[in-house]
Amino acid sequence: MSTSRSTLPWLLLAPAGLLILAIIYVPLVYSALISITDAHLLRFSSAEFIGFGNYERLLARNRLATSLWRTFTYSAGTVVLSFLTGLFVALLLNRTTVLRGLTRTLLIIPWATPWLVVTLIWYVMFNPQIGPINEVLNLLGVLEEGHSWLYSSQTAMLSIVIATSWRLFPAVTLILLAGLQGIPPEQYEAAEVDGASAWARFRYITVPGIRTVSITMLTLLTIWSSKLFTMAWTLTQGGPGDATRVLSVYTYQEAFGSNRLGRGSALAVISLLFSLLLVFVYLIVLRRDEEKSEA
Amino acid sequence: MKRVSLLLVLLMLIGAIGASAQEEVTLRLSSWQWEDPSYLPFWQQTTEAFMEAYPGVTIERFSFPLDQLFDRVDLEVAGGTPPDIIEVTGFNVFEYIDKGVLEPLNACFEGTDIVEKVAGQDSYAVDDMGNIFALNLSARTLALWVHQPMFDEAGIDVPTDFESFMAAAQALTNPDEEEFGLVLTNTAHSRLYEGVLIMIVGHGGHYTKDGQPAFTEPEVIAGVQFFKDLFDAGVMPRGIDGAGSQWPYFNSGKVGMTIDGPWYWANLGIASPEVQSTVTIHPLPTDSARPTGGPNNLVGIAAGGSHKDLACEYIKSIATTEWGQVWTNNSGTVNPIEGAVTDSFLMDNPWFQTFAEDGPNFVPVAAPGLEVYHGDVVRIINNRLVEVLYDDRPVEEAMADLQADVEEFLEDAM
Repeated sequence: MSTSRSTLPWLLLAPAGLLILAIIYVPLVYSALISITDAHLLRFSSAEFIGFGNYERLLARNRLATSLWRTFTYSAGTVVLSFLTGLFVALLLNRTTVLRGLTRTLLIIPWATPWLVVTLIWYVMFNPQIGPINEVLNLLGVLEEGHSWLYSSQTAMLSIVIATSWRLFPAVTLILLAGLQGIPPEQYEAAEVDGASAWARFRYITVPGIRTVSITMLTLLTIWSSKLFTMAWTLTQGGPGDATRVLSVYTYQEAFGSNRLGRGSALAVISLLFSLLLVFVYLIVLRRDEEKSEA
Repeated sequence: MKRVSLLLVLLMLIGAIGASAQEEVTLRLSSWQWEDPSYLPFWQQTTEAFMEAYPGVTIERFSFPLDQLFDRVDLEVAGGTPPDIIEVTGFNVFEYIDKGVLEPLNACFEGTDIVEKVAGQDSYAVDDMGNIFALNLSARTLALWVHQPMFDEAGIDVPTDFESFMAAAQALTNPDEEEFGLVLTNTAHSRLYEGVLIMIVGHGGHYTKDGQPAFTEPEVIAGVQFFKDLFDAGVMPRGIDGAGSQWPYFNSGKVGMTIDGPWYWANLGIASPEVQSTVTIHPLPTDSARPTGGPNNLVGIAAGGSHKDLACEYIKSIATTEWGQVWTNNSGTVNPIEGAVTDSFLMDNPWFQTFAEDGPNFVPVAAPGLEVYHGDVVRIINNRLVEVLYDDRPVEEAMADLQADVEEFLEDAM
């Protein structure tokens, strides 16, 4: 009786466990296995085991290091820009109740827009001949002739960071706004009575009040942006040169551009490790935050 | 007795099902041209005729746009279920041969005069052992398209060399009226690779020399520099990323020149008949005037296909003068089989004359010696070309980097 009682929970968990195994872990293991072969998409059946040959070759070239750096730059730029924009808008919305509902609805539009549509919007925005950004900068006298935002290696990364942040910042706003509204107004009233400046109120009341949601949001933004493919691929295809060749684009180019599935899979495994590292950092930060809150 | 009869009926039924299963065959034919009105008549008519000649055989369309098709085909090949008949481009055919995707057609062509009748059939898409892997369906070259009213208004002649090309492009450019002397693709796209190649060929070079990367050769430097000079002179709009943005500029009637292939004629006619009616077509305005080109569309049999005999019969069935004429007349591109370009076609389409005359003089688009890696090579070259154009990198410096890039790539690929 006791045996059946102890096996029952496992039996009940088994279908879900098997499903997760089949959907998530089998492809991961399969990809890892391909990464230690010389698999080519067009002669897949004759792939041969080459050990860590793909990894050695990737590590021997600067391309991987450059790509990791581009991924870091893209991710950091996107996180900073979308978080600060989201925070700024959330603070503005928190101060006023006028049209808050309408503004919230309007804010969801970029967030609800499919990635591909976002890339098309920004493709036109950045167009050197007809793009509104150049038009505005021309009118303001900042630029004399149309700048090629997406084609210059000086501005290509900045351009995709701006486009990605535009898509992501509404999520930050909505979540931070929820956090801001959870801060008791009495704390601000008491601080005002004590003569605290606006900066002091922000520093000592607002920031601690949204600390946990901010950490969660920052981590999610980091994970999302480090995996993003659509923007860098559709807007710049990793170029010019390797200016926007983030890890996901590099993986795609190897696996499906050059058909080198083995090397592409090795890059996918490296991407996975990169994501795991981020998750690990997130868990540590979250735990420390919880410990600090409890203390 | 009843049981025996029942058994017999059952056996007959099973036999009948088996027989019908044997007769019913579906061939899959992959092409990016199933939705293209210029090529659809050829594919539709040839497949219908084949299905009529072979009752029980159905030819199913495996259809995706060009930029998606080969990803799908590659996955089907990897999965062991390739389309039986595969249309390939003059570029990716080399990789498909190298990786054993295509079946040699020598046995299929045995007893026919296809190799004799189709120009280039014994030299293109052929390996060192003399194996022929695909039937050539069209050859193409590029030429200079001139919007004649702009030239007439400016009182200038159609350019014939680099110097007059630059002068004409500058004379026709008027930023206030948003008029440009020229439109060419100038972002990372296969058209940029070929646009710059035209200038290199004009200086007597190619991206390779004796089968090896030659990006630091003076002819290549001079060709890239000329393209950059055109770009810097502001004679072409920036950010042009392929036919999708190149054509609308020329269609608008506000651009003096473009460089394109014969397939543009039909598109121009649909988009802007008034511009089409005033267009003249000329040899390329470079010092050598040699066009880039070569076989553009080929069709082969998948080595891993299930119905290779039938696929062979289909390919043989389309290698006739009559079908060649259907191809040429509808698409405006030359099917290389004997008699495919008729006198009446040339009389009805005088614009085609330049392509017909210049065609045999072409320089292959794929860099000789690097054909197998054409897609990768185009990407690597374009990356550096874009740096030259948009980041103002000195040509010599960028070409030295490009030489190193391609050598490193080849080292990795071997």
